[in-house]
Amino acid sequence: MSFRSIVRDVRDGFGSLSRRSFDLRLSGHHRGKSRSSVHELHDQPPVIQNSRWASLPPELLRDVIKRLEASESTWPGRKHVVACAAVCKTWREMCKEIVSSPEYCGKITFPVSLKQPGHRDGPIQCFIKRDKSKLTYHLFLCLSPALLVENGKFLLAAKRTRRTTCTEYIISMDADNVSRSSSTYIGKLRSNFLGTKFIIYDTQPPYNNAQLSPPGQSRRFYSKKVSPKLPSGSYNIAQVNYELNVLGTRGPRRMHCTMYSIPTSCLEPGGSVPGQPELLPPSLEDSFRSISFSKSIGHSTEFSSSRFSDILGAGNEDVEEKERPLVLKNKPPRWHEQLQCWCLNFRGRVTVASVKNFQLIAANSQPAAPPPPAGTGPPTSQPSQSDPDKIILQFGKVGKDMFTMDYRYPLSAFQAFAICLTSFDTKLACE
Amino acid sequence: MELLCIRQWISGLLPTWLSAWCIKPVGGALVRQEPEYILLALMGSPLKKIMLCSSEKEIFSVEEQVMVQHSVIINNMIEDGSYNHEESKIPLDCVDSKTLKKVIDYCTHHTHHHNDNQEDLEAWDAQFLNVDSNGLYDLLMAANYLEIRNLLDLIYGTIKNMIKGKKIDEIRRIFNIKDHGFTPEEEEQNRKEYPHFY
Repeated sequence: MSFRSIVRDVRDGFGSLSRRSFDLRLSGHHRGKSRSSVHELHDQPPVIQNSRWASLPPELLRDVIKRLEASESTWPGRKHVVACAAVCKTWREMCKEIVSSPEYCGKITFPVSLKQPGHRDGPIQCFIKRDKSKLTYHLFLCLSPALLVENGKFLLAAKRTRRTTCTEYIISMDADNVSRSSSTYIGKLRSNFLGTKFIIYDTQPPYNNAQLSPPGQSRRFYSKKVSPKLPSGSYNIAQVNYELNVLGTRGPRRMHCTMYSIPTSCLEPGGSVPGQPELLPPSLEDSFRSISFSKSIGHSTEFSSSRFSDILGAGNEDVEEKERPLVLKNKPPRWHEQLQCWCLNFRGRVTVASVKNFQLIAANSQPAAPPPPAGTGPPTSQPSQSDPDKIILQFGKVGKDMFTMDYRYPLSAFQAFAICLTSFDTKLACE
Repeated sequence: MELLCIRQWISGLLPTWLSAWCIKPVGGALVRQEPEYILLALMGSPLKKIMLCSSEKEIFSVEEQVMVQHSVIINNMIEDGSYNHEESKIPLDCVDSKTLKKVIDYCTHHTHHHNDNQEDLEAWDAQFLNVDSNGLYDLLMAANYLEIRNLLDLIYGTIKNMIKGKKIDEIRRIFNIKDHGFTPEEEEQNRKEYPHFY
């Protein structure tokens, strides 16, 4: 008996027999729901076949969604794929199977794509629009190659609040309502007073949460007795440091980003970023598990170097070498003798010179290389161990309040946006 | 033998009532009609017919070449010799009469009009698929079962157009999806994440 005939028999069975049992099941289900549905039952017998489309045979549903996904690969058409995933549960499961993450297909589809690593094969091009009057920043996905055209798909928004000892940026998926209490709040950025050290907080825990939390906190961490009314967690996933160049304010500043949620091994062949968020939102318990952890970390984190090294030290003692956090540094520009300025090749994506412009590359592709101390000489003499062609994040000015942001694997759109925001917060020390 | 001679010969062979019924000259050609199947089987003419039986036990007689051209399943059945033209009928237990008739219409039209220009064919297809979601579902299942590739492609395209540009509540209404299967929390989360989609 061929496989095909077996499949056909099963399909036949589904078509005639199971449809009838479906009818009985559904009629029982709907009878208790509401008066209107019972009324419908008496009027039209076919209304019982409610969920036929919801329970299409998988191979047919796959074909339908595959075609839709293939024909709508760019925004705004991509929203039809997102709509499909919200119609019903079975359609959502199939969409999850078919739509791959930005890491592999380079396309941003669901909101969760914003926290998944970017494309491996090349940068995802975005732009940031600044509104100085409202202190907001909006991140858009580029829909056309033109630089100054405001043709983009909205991704994230950030709002800056300045406090006495620090500056904070709230990051949200809602363009208009950027606040911590909203359900679209996905993270924040906090800087020290001088604007030289920044910490990025994510509402979702990184893969190595147990190692990052100080010893003694883990028992409270796993408690499930949490009220769902508490706000979502706050996890320190990255730290960005700015240092003066040896030439003082006249040279480009130096950036170091330590990504706690991304291990160095992800850049090796076959490596990947662990702990990525799923399409379906985690259960309420999972997302609120962190509350006791974040409270303690929030209070103890002050911006003195000793505290930072405590946190760093606690992490580094226990982790394996391959799980060392990825460190990104900015690519040192070359001094152009004729033009008498520092130059970086932005490949046409940045057109206005600014101290905010930067390109980030991986710093620690060789296991034993420590970050170089300040004052070792002009930046150009530093040997770069990593692949200089792989620009993981590029940010630069193209207009008065317009900036381009190009990011790729292993950073996610959220992380890239947060790192770029640090560049806006320039302080006297670095200007 | 010329067609004219054939016709006369047949008329000679059959009782008058049958010959008058079966053979109608239309532009010099023999027009296909149901009982002609019996004659043509005797004649060995290329206009062989096969019989399809719907789930409601209604029998439809169709030109063999029409179905063989479109349906992979039927083509395989004829080719491997499991179908006996004189006695067999192909049981299609998961296709009801209304749907089977439509499927036969589609295949017949596309075989006889394959030389028409693209726009006319597309207009005919659009009219053909102007059915409600229940009818479309039945057509989809039938086309899939019979493996009629171009009809399947057409239906997929129609489904895609039914989804595109519509709000989620509207899509659920069009496709009669009353039970979306999400928990109340999940549905609430959906509505929060994509408020413009509802």
